Amino acid sequence: MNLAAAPVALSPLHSHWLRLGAEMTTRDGWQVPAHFGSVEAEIRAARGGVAFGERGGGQILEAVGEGVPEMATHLDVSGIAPGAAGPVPRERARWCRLARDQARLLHDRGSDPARIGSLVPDTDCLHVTDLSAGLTTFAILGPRSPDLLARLIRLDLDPARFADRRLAQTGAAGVPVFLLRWDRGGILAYELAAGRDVAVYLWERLLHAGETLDVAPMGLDAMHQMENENRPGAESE
Amino acid sequence: MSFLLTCPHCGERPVAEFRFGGELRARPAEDAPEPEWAAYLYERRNVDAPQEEWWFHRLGCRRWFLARRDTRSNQVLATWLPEGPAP
Amino acid sequence: MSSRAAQGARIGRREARARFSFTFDGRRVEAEEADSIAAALFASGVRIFTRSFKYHRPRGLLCCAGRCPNCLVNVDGAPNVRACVTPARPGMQVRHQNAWPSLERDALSAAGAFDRLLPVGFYYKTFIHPPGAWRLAASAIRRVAGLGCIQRGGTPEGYHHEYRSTDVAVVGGGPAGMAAALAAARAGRRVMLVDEQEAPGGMLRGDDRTRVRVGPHAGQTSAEVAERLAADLEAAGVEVRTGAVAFGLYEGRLLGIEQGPAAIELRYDGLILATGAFERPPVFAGNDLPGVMLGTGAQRLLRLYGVRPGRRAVVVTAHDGGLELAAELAEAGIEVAAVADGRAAADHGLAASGLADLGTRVLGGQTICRAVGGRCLEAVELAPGGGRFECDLLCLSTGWEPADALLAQEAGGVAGVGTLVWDPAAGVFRAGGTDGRVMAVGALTGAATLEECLALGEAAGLAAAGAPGPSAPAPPGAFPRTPLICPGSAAGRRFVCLCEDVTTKDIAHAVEEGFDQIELLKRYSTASMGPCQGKMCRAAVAESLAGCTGAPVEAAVPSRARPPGRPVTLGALGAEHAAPVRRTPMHDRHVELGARMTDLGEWKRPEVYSSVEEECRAVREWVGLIDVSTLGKLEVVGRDAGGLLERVYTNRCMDLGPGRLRYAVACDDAGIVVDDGTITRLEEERWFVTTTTGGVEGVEQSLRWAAVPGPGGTGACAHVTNRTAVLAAMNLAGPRAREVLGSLTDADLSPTALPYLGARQATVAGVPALLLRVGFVGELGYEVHVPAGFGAFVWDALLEAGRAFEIRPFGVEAQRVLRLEKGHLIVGHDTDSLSNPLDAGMAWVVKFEKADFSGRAALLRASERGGPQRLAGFTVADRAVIPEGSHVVAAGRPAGRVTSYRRSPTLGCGIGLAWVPEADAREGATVLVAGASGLLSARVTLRPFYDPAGARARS
Repeated sequence: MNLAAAPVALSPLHSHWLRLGAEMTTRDGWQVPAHFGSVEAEIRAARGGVAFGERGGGQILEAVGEGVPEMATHLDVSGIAPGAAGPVPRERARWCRLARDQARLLHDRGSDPARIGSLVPDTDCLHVTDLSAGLTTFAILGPRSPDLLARLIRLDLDPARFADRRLAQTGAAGVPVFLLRWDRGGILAYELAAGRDVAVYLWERLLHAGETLDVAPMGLDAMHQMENENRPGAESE
Repeated sequence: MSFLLTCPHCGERPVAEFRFGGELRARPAEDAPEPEWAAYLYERRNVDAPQEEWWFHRLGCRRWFLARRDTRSNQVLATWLPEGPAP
Repeated sequence: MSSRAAQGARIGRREARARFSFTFDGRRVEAEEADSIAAALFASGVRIFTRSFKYHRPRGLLCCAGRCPNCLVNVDGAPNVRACVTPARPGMQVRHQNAWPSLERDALSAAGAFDRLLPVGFYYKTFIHPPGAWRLAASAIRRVAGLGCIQRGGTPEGYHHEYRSTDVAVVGGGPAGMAAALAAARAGRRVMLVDEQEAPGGMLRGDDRTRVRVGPHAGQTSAEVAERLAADLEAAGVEVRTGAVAFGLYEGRLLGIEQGPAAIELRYDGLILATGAFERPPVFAGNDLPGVMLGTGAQRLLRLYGVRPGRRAVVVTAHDGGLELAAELAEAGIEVAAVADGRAAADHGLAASGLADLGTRVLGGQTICRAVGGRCLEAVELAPGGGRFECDLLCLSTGWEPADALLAQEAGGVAGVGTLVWDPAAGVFRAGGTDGRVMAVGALTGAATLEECLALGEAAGLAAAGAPGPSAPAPPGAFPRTPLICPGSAAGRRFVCLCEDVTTKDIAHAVEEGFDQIELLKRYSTASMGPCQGKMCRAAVAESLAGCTGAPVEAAVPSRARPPGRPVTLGALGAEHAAPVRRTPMHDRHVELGARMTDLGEWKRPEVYSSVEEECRAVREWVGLIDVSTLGKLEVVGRDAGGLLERVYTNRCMDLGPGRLRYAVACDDAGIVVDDGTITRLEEERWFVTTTTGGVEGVEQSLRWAAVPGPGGTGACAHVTNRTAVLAAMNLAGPRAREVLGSLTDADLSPTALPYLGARQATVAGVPALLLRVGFVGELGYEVHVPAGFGAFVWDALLEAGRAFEIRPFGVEAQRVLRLEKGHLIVGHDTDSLSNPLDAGMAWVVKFEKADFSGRAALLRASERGGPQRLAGFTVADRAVIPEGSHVVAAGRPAGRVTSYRRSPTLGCGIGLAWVPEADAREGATVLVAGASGLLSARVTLRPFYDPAGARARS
């Protein structure tokens, strides 16, 4: 082994991707599946039914404490109520307000850890922790995604009730998850984040739940392509 | 068990997301007489009526909160944060 | 004559129906599109569908609506499928149940001849002598008892759970249910309609005889109304779930539904039950013969599948519906030999005159007294008068019973909800009230006409939607009532409960033996405890009990109904898979290295890679590497974080400087050890806590509990974040550990820069890492924590760097041996729910001098009193076998127990930890241990077995 080699981070599903015949690529220091054969087929599956895959890279910061409202003001996102999410103006980041005193900041592409300092105001009782390495986020896209999620999650996911940019902390197949709805290119899209230690388990449960729904695994290329087809004027990423 | 609890942070959720934390009771002072400590540690009122009790939102916000639950019907009549006044 | 009716409007679609085939006991059966399995089998000439539970009597179609036990079959390996409501599919393999070798000739039907040997409650009073007889009998009985066989091996695919929510749930797709769903949906509510048939419509389906007289549907036939309403439901956006059985009402506004392979948990705001009514079969001699059918059962065969239920029929009734049925049968080309109407001739309505025009005799004041036949019905005898009629079909239309399986669950007697009350006018029990979220409408409440059902349904739908509408629903109508136990003493068994083969004679015997209360009778005779759960027999059991005791029928209050109200497939119920499996970031590496994996709680961990002895030796002599990512890892941050930790843990931590760590024990308020681990002060207000593998959830909850503000308070500024999954952790341990780690980092690892119980941040193999110097296995050791994504990378780097030092990965078994050599206990293994740290030999972790902490008061008292046992080490001769849990024996009695025992490869003898009597807990004492091959003498020690001074870990 060449110890001078740059460290490579591996997804908990790394060996699964290889078994599924994924074409792997390195993004932001992570080995991630680019596609599973055909980007077009993956996008078709997402448009027609439901497709899901792992969202690699990115950074997830959790902020807790009495200082969270002040941080929201600092980032110009105080209009986002608990239970909702939205883009952070002037940043490639999204703000997820979990509670009055708890929020998550999602940087969707590799971000500079040094920037974190400028995002956190100097205020009493505000604690920011980097959870990136501990969470695995699945993207679930397509008109039938609520049907897939309804087999794992005991929440009312009717698209009219759990609207775009709503979020919830809940359980899926017995493990704690963070669920965010963030539609892409006009189609239903969800992000489901769970502990890295249960990522393989949750992936298997998703596959099982999708047995009769014609689910397809999806790589990062298709995901990004669909995200770039986002409605004009969307601010994020 | 399938009743619903309204987490003060996350809203109404099935009980499977929570952990029961026992009856709401005052912890004795550390130098309280032994019988008082014994009662606190080993005795429960176990009423068949509305009861104030602790719950922890295990699969959610991971906070402790209080609930008033009718132990006969498992109907949850109110929930509130420990710092807030009991409704 | 073919069973398929050739004419009639309802059968007009027949020509268009596609045909296919399936097999029944290997025989090819032709079926038509939309056939149920039972309809296709009946059309092909099958009359015996199953054999009864106890006497193996032939049984045929009775209800044709999924309620009775008479048509349970095995379909493609799935047992107890109700053939009458399960659609036939091409190529399906249907097999009979409960008969050997065949349905026609069942060897076990001989049981019927020995019924004297199988009296009611026989299993309570036979095979008691001689001793052991029951054991023999039980195995024989088990072979023949039960219904159906479970398919072993292989999990059928597709079973799953579904979690849904709706504003208004409607159960029952008959006229009342459809009207209710439509009204609620049009009022703007989200509505789900659940119906067990393949299409909504209920009793209206296929009925082109009844015409609506008034209201918006006036002039339409029932079938037309059903089709119109179904279209309206779709247009109104109602989610219609067909082929779906609602089986249970659960707390929290939850309705349990089975639909195909799915078990659906439906949460509702309002629930409308429109489950209808079903006919109650009277009890008479020979009432279980194939050919005896409920009137509605015959109607369903005819209307829905175009299958004639017989050739020559007798109809027994007590209301006009039976007379209309007779006319319908006659029109379909079935000869109606006689109609027995329990009412006097003068009470007969218009329908009777219509029948007279068809040339069918209506016998007033007559009822059934006996059905005659060998395997199937051949004739019936009426009473009074004893008229005898040859026939192959007997239709029973003598009265209705509300289909209240769900309603009775709601009426279970919890606060705010009523109970079942007797309705003397209708002669049935009804739900006395509901909590307002649940409403009952339609035939379930006694509504008799289509107009009533539609109007009541609409009112309920509007009420559930909170929309204005007609307020007080019309009072329910009365169910026609006739005695269920028919008169006469004709020879032949009279079955009260078909599921369990309980006869009127059995009931009488049970009552004679003193089981004269309904609850006792039910348990003793097992009447109403079979697959139908009393749906067919509840009223008959009550009436025959009343007949025996002379008490009024209403004294037999039905038992509390509990879910499931209908049989549910275990595959669907069990499909909710909530058994998480947790894997460390190095999981794939362990598998590649050939480790034997083991389950520790939810975690997968390597038990051993090569051999435990070799792995132990590597750690003691060179260096070893173990994955300890499963350790709980918590970050506690904030001004008050240190104080919080001191409240939960028994020792101090505020006196630690940044970059120092300490072993710590957490107790509950009873002073019982609940967890242990290390507390590291990373910065002034930032702490890093490790817990046991299974203990992190409990510790995090305790910390959060301790941080809860009091009423009106603002709470401590201390926050807990679980970083267990964020960090991969590995322990590099052994005399050469410093050299291995040093080759991957520029950080100063010298004992002065990073001493024992020191901590520092460093870059290891290019990855940011937290290094903790700990010594669980008693050697120079570093716990290396890195971001989880780099876990495998750093693991590889350490193994590569250690190659020159004979490094070996070691598993949890080697770790157990190594820590035991050091005398380190494992919480929950060497301690239990009575162990406090004082008795466990860790008095040094309890700091009474600090302010209040969890367990302080209890531990203070324990320290004054002392405990009866102490946890101590012991040694025995090499190769002794002592299972963990073995007794420590004193004066011939158990006086303690062994919690850990291993052979120590380092010391060459057996070592262990045991709870020993307080008096024996001293260096050099001798205790007796009950090993696998007898009592062994063990030598007690209170010091670590290996390196008692701890010099190696500090080196």
